[in-house]
Parts: sequence; structure tokens; C-alpha cells
Amino acid sequence: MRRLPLLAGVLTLLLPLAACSGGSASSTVRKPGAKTFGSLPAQSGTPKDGGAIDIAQQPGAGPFYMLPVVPGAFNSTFVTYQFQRLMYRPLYWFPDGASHKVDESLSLAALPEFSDGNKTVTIKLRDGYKWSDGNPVEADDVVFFIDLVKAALKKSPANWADYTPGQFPDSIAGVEATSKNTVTLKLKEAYNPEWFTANQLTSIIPLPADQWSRASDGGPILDHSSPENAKAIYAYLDKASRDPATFATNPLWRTVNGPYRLSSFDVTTNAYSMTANEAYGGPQKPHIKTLNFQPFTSETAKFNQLLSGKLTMATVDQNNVGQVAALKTAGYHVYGAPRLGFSFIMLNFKDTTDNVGRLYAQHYIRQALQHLIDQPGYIASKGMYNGAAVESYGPAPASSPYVSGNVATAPYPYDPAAARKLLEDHGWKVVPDGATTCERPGTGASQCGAGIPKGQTLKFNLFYRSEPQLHSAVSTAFASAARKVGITVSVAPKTFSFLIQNFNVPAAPSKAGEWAMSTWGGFSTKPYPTMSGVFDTKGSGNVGAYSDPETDELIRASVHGADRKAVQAEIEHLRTDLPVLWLPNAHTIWAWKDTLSGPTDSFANLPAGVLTPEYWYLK
Amino acid sequence: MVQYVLRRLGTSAIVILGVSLITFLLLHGMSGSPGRAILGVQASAEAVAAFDREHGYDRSLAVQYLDYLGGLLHGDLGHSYKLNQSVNALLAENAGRTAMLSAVALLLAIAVAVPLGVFQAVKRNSVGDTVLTALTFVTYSMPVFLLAMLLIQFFAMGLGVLPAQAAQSSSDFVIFTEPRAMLLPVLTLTGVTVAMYSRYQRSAALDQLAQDYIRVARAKGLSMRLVLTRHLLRNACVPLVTLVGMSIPLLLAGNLVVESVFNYPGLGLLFFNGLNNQDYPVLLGYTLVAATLTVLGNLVADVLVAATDPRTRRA
Amino acid sequence: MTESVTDKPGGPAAPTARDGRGVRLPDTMSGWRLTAREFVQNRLAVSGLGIIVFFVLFCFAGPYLYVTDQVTVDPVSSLLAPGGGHPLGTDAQGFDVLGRIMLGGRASLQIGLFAALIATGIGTLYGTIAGLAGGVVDGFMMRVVDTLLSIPFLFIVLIVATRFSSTVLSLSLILGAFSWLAPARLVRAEVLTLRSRGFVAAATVMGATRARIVARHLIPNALGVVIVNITFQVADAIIAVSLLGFLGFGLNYPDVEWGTQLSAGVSYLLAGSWWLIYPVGGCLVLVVMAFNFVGDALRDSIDVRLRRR
Repeated sequence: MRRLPLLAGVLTLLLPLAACSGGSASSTVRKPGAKTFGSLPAQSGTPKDGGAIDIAQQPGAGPFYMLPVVPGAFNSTFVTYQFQRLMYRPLYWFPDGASHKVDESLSLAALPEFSDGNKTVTIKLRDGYKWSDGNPVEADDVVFFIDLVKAALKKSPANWADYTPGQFPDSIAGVEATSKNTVTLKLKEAYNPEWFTANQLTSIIPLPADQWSRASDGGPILDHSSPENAKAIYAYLDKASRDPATFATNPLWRTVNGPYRLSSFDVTTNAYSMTANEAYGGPQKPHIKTLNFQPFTSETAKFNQLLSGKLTMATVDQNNVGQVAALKTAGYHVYGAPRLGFSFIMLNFKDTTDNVGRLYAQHYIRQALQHLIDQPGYIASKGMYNGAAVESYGPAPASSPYVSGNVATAPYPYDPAAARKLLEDHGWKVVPDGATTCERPGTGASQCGAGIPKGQTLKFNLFYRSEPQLHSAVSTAFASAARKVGITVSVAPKTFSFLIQNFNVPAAPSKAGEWAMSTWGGFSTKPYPTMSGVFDTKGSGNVGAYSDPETDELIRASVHGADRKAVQAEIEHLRTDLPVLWLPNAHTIWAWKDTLSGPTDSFANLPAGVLTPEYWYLK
Repeated sequence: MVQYVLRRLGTSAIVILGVSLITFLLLHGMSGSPGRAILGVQASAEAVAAFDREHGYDRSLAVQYLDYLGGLLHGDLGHSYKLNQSVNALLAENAGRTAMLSAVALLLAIAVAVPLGVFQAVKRNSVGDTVLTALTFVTYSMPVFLLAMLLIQFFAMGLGVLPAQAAQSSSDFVIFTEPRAMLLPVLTLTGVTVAMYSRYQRSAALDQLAQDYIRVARAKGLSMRLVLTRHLLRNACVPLVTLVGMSIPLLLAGNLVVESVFNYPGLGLLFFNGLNNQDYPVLLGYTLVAATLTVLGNLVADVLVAATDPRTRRA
Repeated sequence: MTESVTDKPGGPAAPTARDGRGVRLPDTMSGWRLTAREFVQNRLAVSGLGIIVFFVLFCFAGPYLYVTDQVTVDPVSSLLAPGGGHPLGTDAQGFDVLGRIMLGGRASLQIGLFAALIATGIGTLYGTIAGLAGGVVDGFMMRVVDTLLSIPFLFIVLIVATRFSSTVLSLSLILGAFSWLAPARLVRAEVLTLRSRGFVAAATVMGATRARIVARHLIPNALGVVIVNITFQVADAIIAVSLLGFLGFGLNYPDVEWGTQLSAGVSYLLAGSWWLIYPVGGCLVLVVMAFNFVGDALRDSIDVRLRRR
């Protein structure tokens, strides 16, 4: 559906292009799989204070909730990084420029110390950070957050988006402010320090206990360690958080510890502005006085505004990649990189129709299917990624510090002949453009495999997300390649919400027989890219019900082992075991006016969706 | 007459009730859990279950429908969790812009269609009539989205004289404050309506021309011009009024497409985004409002017809 | 009541004017020959018929004369400009556009026809029953029609299309199942009018059974309205399916229809790929227009026939 608005924009874009001869196609062709889209400009000009910039909001992703304990219904990365993180700093900041890891220099605490067999965590807050009311950020503020989260979750597990049952805060046996600036966490079991730091502690956002630990406007400060009090405090803060009309005026929200605070919020359009917090205690005081976040009804509307020069910065949608030359002419820097995550064609291992589950159980069949996906071709194709993606064969991009360079190397590169050979070697009679059938059933090395009868065909249905066009293009190309080796892939579009509600084994087990493959884009992951919850047998997000004992063991080591690099082995195993079919990882692209500058790192984190505007200045 | 209107009002209420039931069942029967759609694919089963429970989606469909109906009786169309606003507020915010766009396009369409149709009728089978008939056929045979695309291509891209996107201001009167940016959306909507109205008007005028009173008037020596203005136009306009009442679904559908192609922030765009986000309350609210307008349009049209032609009241 | 509703422009019968000018047709002419004559005299109708014949040949015979590979996706030769073996260029998948238009047109025409037949079939049956039954039954049946007509068409079709996968058959069924409302009203109105006509009353007086009246008098007389309606329904269904395709719920690989082609084309128009839009768009408008021409002319001429009785 979203294609309609897109179309208008797409059409609009022809206008400036008509002027520059030759069109955009030739000027934006780049090598397939370039690690980044364009390059970061060097810092230039002299920093000066003041001024205002206009930043585009993501269409339909307005911030509707104030308290940094955000319910799932209101959560999105945009709300997190372009609203709350600017006002309320997390205990541990991430990423570190272009590197997907914790950045200690922007964190409120020094990296944690693990002791007692990784069952005790000691967190020391750093000096200098303070609330805008002058109070320092203290250990009690961390405890206050944890108490609030517990109260929120007690009311409903949907009340905190970051919550996974069994993990933080369920995993905490006890929390104590052992001094004004030290917090000690006792864990119920041992956790991998790297996982616990990067994926759990990064969710902690110290909150101003001195101001917020109350149950009514101007009420007395309560002891939040009592569950009764915490419940009342949460109810009070939650109520205030759901009232956008008072976001900019409620005295509660004037207390911040980030570089900016909210100065205005328009309830009808969701336009909001932030003003520099002079009392910010971080390493860099904000230069720019005002940030205006502009709302848009669609990507197209946003992009048009960008082209007309009325926006200082915005993301550039995949469909507008062809317009980058025009953007540069209009005076913008354009830079993109893969986000932290991965894209895939999901395989449903529980699909019993036509024995699909049994087919998937054979590694050679998954291998053959991956051999039919032409990642470099898709990336280069003007009808697909148009150069704005990287080859990716694992659950994390090569830019993650936790992976080896292998994820960019295809374990089973595009090679229909190899796919054909694999099938023939396992007893299949391959009929190009027809129906390939199993000729030698059985479990031997050169036979089809367990439960696959003679005459079995290779038939799969693939449901793709109805917008954007990319999913249709990729699915069609894959189906066409499959056809060449006698595999039938019938493709059909579904809306995204239909896909995730119905074609999702843990969420809708009764519909597991209705789908063999689906593709809607991908998953984004936490900094430490373990697939816990995604590819472990019991994972609640294990959409295709993939199950592999070795993977379970590796995931366990990633989460509970002592080896801080454990996740690398997990990713390496998944890369070749193919829990899904890997697709290219698209670049997240940003454009910003060349009048805006700052250290390169303060722009390198943009593709992760993270803003550090305190470093920017207008030349 | 009063009795007739009352009876029609009663059936209209039943129709609207039927619409609410059908849309409700369609939407809820088609998908499993709204909680999953709202919380996302990676949300835990516990969170989804909790969300569905908190918002009553775990109850039986009948109970949910009765609950929804209870809200409707109090004028409450529900709350959009995606947009964190009440559906009433969302519709109210966007209705003005949509109404303004439709009204301007409608008036323009009538202003063009009436003289056009009468001209064609009077000059029936002349070259001018054939050309105009062919032209209205072309517009009439075009899906709205195609008309919009072609207009954008020609005026925005080719000539570069008009913006391809509608004005984005949140003012209801943006159509008057930024007329240039609204020209293409208005033209598109007018285009599809003119095609329909002018063909209708042409036939209606032809019918009138054949009536005895026109012949009598002509025979009495009245000038053609006087006949046209005095008799023909007035009498041929009556069916047009009913046509406007009945073309509300057409206008609404046109608005949907036009608003999304041109990114005009109105009810149509709200509905489209709702479809994308599976925002049930918004979808239900919009459909109900659209249906009510359609029913009211029909009602007005029928009452007008009944007022002029008492025979129809019997049925 | 709403029998006054005419779903199509030009609702009131137009050709009274021709009579008014004193054109007298020989009384000996039979009704159907009269219809044919009136039809042939209409320039637009004849050209419409010509366009339809051309497109049927183009879409169904064309692929045998102009052979292209419409199944192998070729990402590398996507979006090639017209020329060099591809008179209308290639699309985003690397398919030859001219060959694709033939393929797409075939599906669009098929769906248009099937959907029209289904809609008119259901509508005729429903309208006849309601019209004959009268009273409470009629009232209830017409309220159902009112209700369904009040729900935005796009809303229903999109929701249903999300559930079912699109094939020529399923799209025809979906469109047909939701566009029988207008024919139902028309047929009911026609039946009501015919019922009050002298010859039916006469037959009743003469003791004819109800079934006989329906078979011998109502159906033949309502046939004109039904045939005209099918023509318009084809035009409408082609537009509706193009809209579905445009929104992403048209036919899927390896099949295609014109709406899907347009929607794919729009996404890449920024690359200057006008050849993805204009040829398909032009074909779509021409075909729909042709059906409207024919439908209009048919209605006019059938009106003449009816009046001569």
C-alpha cells in the first residue's frame, strides 16, 4: 500500500533529474557490495554555538510516550534514539561511531566488572553527569529504573518493550546501591559478561529518583524499593507519559540528563522541538541550540522536502537511492551503511504440507536453495537494491566487532549448476522448467533423506511483504532461478502485519502448514549479535521453528559462557547451517546538509539510527 | 412525506448497523491477534497475550462487537494504539482537509459538467459533441491513479510548472492558501467526476429537449437561449442534485487514491496508513463514517426524488 | 426507494431525442435487427468493437508471433530502454515489455470477462428474485444491497485479497462477488417495470403461471439490460483489477496483469523508464474505453427496441 505515496515521490524526482543530463542511473552505479554507501566527509569549519536544524521524523513513528520505560506498543528505534536518548542517557551508550559496540566515553558508567563466576556485576558511575536540577546522576537512579521496570512488568509484560521473559530484570536476584556511585547486581545464574553488558545493561536508563519517585503531582518523595510504592509511582508516571499534550509543559519531564530537552510538542502533527540542555555533563556540550523534528506522512513527502533543501537531515528510502546524485547537487552529504541486523527468506521447518519440513531438514536442500540466490546480482540490479546493500551471509553485518570477516563471504554462492549437482547427488531427477522428483528415497549419503518418498517434488510457497517493491523483485528472481532446476516456488504478497500474525510458528502454530517461506525484510539485533530467542529451539521469535542442538549449545555459550567472543562461533555455525536463506543487507542511508559538520564519528553512527547532535555545529 | 422520510431514516440506521457488523467481522476474522501486529514480530508471546488481554482482544468476537457497538452509541469510535489518539480526534483532524478538497472538486465538476452536458445535448452528434464525448469517455475509462500519474508526469515532470505533491500544511484551508500545490489533486478528482456528471447531464438534457413543453416553448417562439436557461437547465439540474448525493462513494474512493498519490494529509491517507499498520480502530472508524456519508447521500437523493415525484414514495 | 439509482453515467435513456426529430423506423423491423442497425450507425461503438477485437488478437495470438521469454528473471538486463531487440524495452525483472503487455492483457481481459459474468449472473438472479418476490423479502434483500454498497469497495476487496492468493480465478471471483450489487438493482428495477407492463398483466389475466411469465416474458425482456450491464461490468472489472494490481495484490509471477505492470513501472520511473508506464497505461485506457463505447451504444439501441414494442 505504501507504494502509492512512493509513486508520487518517485515521479517528482524526475523533475530535478531532467535538468542534469544523462539521468541518475549512470552516476550512481557503484560496485556491488561496497561496505558503505558513499563515504563520510571530513570534519570542516570551526565549531560555533547556536542555530537550529530540521531533522525528519520517520513517517508514522511519532514519539507517543515519555517515560524511558517504553511499552511495546509505543516502541521503535526512532522513538528510542531520536527522542528519549537525547534527553535520557542510557547507562551504556552504543554504538561507538561506525563500530557496533559500547562506547565507554559516552556512557554514564565505566564498563562493569564481573566477579563471583560472572554472577556479580559491579557498576561504577562516572563523575560529571548530572540532572538538569543540579543533582548528580547517582547509583540510586539506576536502582530506581530497575524498580520501575519491575513494577511495570508486574502490571503487564507488554509494558516494557525490551523485556524477554527470563532475562533482565527476571535474571536479577538482587540490586543494591553499595555507595553513592556504585551499583551491585546479583545475578541468578552466570551470564556471558559481553552479552550481559552489550545486550542487557544497555537497556538501563538511570532516572531522576529525586524528582520522579512520587505518586502524584507535588507528592512526597517515596521509597521506591517498596513494591507497593513502585507500583504507585509507575502508575503515576505512566499516566503522565501517555498525555502528549503535556509533554513539553509537565514539570516532571523538565528534569533531564541528556544534551537536549523537549521544548515543544504538537499533539496533532507530532512535530517536536528540543532545546540544548546547558547543564549537560557529558564530554561535549551541545553546540546547536534547537533541534526541530519534522513529521511526515510518507517517505515521498520527506524526500521531496529534502530535495527542496528545507530539511537539514533525513534518511533516504531505498526507493530513492537512484536520486542520490540530485541530492548531492542540492548540497547534501549522503552516507549509508548496513544496519545491525540481517535479511532473509524465512524457512518454515514445521510445514507439513508436501513434506516441506522434511525437505528443509536436509541440509543439502537448504544449501541448494541458497545456491539459487544471486546476492551480487540483486545488489547490482537497478530493479532491486541498486547498489545500496552489502552481501551478507549471517545474522550480523561484517562491520560488527563480534564477527569474523567471513559473513561477507558466501558459503554457498549463486550457482544453479551446483544446486543441480547437489540434488542429483542426493537422488533427485532434475527437470529444468519442470518438476524435479526424488528417485532414490532413503537415508543413505546419495539418497533423498529421511521421510522423503519416491516421486516427492520440490514445491514451496513464498509469501512476501506487499511493500516496498523490493520484496516482490527478490522473491520473483529467486522463484525464476528455482524454476531452472525444477523447483516450484509460488510467490504471493501479504501485508506485513498479516505475515507476522499468521505466518509465524510460535505465534500461530495452527497455521504452520500454510506457508513454506516468507520474506519481509529482516531482524535488527542487539549489539552482541547472538541469536538467542531467534534461532534457539525455544526462542519466542523463532518464526520458522528452526531447531538444531549444536546451535542451541552455541547460543547457550554466547549467553551464559565465560568466553566474551563466544558469539563468533555461533554466527559462523549459523552462516553455513542456514536456519534461513540469507539475503543482502541493505544500507541505511542518511543525507545531511553540507553546512552541518562535526567529528566523523558523530555521523558514522547515523546508519544505526543513533543521533549525537551535541557534536554537530553549523558552519 | 414526513412518514416517508422517517421510514427511510429507519432503514438507513439498519444499513449502518449492518455495515458496522460486516466491517468488524471482516477485520477481526481475517487476522489473529492485533497485539502481535502492534508489538512486532520479536515481541514475546507473554507480552502479546498481555496486550490482547488488556485491550479485550481475547474475548469472544460477539462480546467485542457488542462492546464496540456500545462505544458507538456514545459516539466513541475507539482509540488508535498506533497513533495514540482517539479515532474521533483523528477523524476530526483530517476531515476538514478532505471535505475541502472534495467540495472544491465537486463544485468545479458541476460548474464544468452542466454547461458541457447541455452544450453536447443541444449540439448532439456535431463534431464538438463527438470530440467531447470521446474525451469524457477517456477520462471515465481511466483508473484514478493513472489519471493522477499522467497529470503529474505532464505538469510536474514534463512542463515543471506544478508541484507533484500536495501542500503539506495542516490547515483546513490550504487549498486556498497554497492553490498551486493543490491544483493537481483537485484536477484529478474533478477529472473523474466531470466525466461522469457531464455524460449524465447530456442524457438528462436530451430527455428534456424531447419533452413536449420544450417543443411548446419553441413553438411559442421563445428563443433557444431562453428555452435553455428558463426550462432546460432548471429541469435538467434536478437529476444532477440526486446524482451528487449518490456519487459520494465515488468521491470517497477518489479521495483515497488522490490523497495517497499526492500525499495530501486527509482521511484517505489516514485510512491507507491504517491499512498498512493494521490499525483496526482507524479502519473501522473510517469505514463507518464513509458508509454513513454514503447512506446519507442516498437518503438525500431519494428524498429529493420523492419530493419531486410522489409516485416513488409508495415503494 | 432506490430503484431510481442508475449506476452508470447517461442513466436516463438518451435517444428519445432521435425520435423527437421524427426519425421513423419501419414497423416491420424486428426488435433485434433494429438494435443491430442502431448499433452499427454509432461510430464510437463500431470503433470500440474494433479496439476490442484488436486487443483480443494482440493478447491471445500476439505471443505466437512475437515470442519472448516471460519466465526467466534477468536482474542484469533490467530496465533497458526501448531498442535493440526490445521494441518497448525491459522491465525491472528484465522481461521484454511488449511481450509482457500481451501476457498482462490476456489476464486482464480474462478477469474482466469472468468477473463481469459472475457479477451479472449473481446480480440478475438476486434482482429478479427480489423484484418478483416484492414486499418484505424484497425490502430485506434490497437493504442487504444498500449495506454492501455503503462499504467502500476498495476496503472489502483489499481485505479479502490479503487473505487469498491471487489467481485469474480467485481475482475474478473476488471482484465478481463484490460487484453484483449494481446489476442486482438494475435488474430488479427492470423487473418491477416489466411487471407493471401491459403484456405481463395480460398474461396473468389469461391465466399464465408465474414460471411461464418469468420464462416467456420477463427474462427475454430483461435480457437487454443484462447484456448492456455485462459490457459495463467488464470495463469496471478491468479497472478494479488494475487498481488491485497497482496496490500490490494482482497476479503473481509468472503471471501478470496490467495493474501489476503499472505498479512495478511506477517504482522505477525515476530512472527515466517511461516505457514501463505509457504503453501499459494506454492499452488499459483503450480497452476500458472500448467496452464503455460498446456498452453505451448497446444501451441506446436496446432502448430503441424496447420503445418500439
